[in-house]
Amino acid sequence: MLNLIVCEWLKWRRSRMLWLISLGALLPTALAFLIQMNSSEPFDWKGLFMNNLFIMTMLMCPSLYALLTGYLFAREFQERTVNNMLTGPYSRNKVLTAKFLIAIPVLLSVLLLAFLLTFAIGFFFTSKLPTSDALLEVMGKYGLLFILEYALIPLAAAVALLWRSYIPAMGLGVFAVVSEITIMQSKYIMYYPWSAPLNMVMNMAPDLNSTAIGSTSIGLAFLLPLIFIAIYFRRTDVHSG
Amino acid sequence: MTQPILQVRGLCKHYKGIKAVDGIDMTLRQGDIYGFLGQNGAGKTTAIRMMMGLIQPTAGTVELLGERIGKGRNEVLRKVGSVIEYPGFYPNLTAYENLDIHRKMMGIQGKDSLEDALQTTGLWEARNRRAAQFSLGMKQRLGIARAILHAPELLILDEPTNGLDPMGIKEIRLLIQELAQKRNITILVSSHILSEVEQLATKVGIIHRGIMLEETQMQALKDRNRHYISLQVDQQEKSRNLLVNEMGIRDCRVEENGWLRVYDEGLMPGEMNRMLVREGILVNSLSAVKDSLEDYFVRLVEGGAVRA
Repeated sequence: MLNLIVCEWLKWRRSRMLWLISLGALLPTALAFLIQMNSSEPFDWKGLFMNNLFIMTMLMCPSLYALLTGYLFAREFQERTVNNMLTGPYSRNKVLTAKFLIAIPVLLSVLLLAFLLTFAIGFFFTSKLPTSDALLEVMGKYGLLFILEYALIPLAAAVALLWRSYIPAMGLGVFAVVSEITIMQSKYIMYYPWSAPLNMVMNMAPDLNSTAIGSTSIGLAFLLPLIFIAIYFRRTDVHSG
Repeated sequence: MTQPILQVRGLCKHYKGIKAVDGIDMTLRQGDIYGFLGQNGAGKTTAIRMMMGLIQPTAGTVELLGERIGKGRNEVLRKVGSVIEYPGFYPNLTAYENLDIHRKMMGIQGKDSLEDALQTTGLWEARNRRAAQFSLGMKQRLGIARAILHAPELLILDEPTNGLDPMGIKEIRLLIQELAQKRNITILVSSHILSEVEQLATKVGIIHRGIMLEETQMQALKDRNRHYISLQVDQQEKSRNLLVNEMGIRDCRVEENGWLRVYDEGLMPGEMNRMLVREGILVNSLSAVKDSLEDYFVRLVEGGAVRA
């Protein structure tokens, strides 16, 4: 199993997707900083991080995570390496598990980079340091955001495996953003797996912020596609590649 | 008789009424170079994919080195190398890095095997080039390098010369022969090109529309190809009747432009000629010919040949 995880890690070397990870962290950071700088309020570290978190939660994570997940799972079909990958002495579910495990550092790096860039840009322009309380609080929110968004990647993985291309997964990401922006303004914000993280991380609608409902909807969005993938991928015939 | 390296029994794959592979049997023994011959769409790749566990058979079994291939983990695949259809690689990685991933996946310690595989396939100098920059011929060789990296006992190559120029085809052929001779690897190579199989294989299996028409030693196939007499006459139908009725010939085939083909054993061309001339028939040409494998293959897939 460790060998498979190492192989998955090596496949990312010099990948063009690494540029997307950097861009995905850099753009929200720059945008958050501009918002903060144009604010009439005095500079506030927590405000800067919350702006960054808001953009990451609403726009960047749903779309970029879907794209990266799609790439991670569908590239074997698109680069026609799937034959070699599945004719080794490993079960298909182990191969999938390795991919889900390697998604953790890959996807976490987007948020980690966003956090570090926000910290660096804030410090560079203000020469101030945030208080440890503020820092701990926003770090907790980044952590929570990662867990919630990671829970949504089996959906993107299922779409990518079903169509054997990362384009549908990218489409899913765009759909997630558009639908989430609509639903986040309604009373169903916690029922929809892509809008629930907005309330759970940003507390946008405190009256509707039910952790139980949010966790359930995200939990189902995690488990159902995961079960589907485990069954489908084990049984499916591999014709391409 | 040695233990089969690969044994396929009654292998079937049906898709909504279409029989892609229909009950094929195959046996590969140690040291065989097995030519799996068939036209495009005959079912070769589907059969190979079933052998490697990529496609689940509708019926039948595949045993590799005595172990049955199933849905789950197949440990025996450590002893099998394969290049199926098109050798895919991670384009962002170099040839060396691509092979290194395979080495790790197969759990091979040390990196000596990487150099050995790249040297054997003549790609050592190109090891630091990205796979995306490789030509098709180089990718085919890199595919073979990856397939032999873990010192397999069986090598399965699906159409390894597809899309290659004549030089590339020759290079791959020599490489396959070298692998069989020097490393004692049993090889299954599929192809739709008869001449390629003829030059390589020690055993041949001919598949057509999902059915295995014949499986035999290549030498036996060559030996069995029938002698016949080919003659061109001015009165085709009369000549045929004379040959059948006067000389008792059972297998006389009428072809275009006055040509006849006579297949019976123990034919005497001289007597045949004398009899036809005596009956007033002009014999323009008469020669004893041996069927080429190509003729045999065509007859076989058209259903007109003697079955093994």
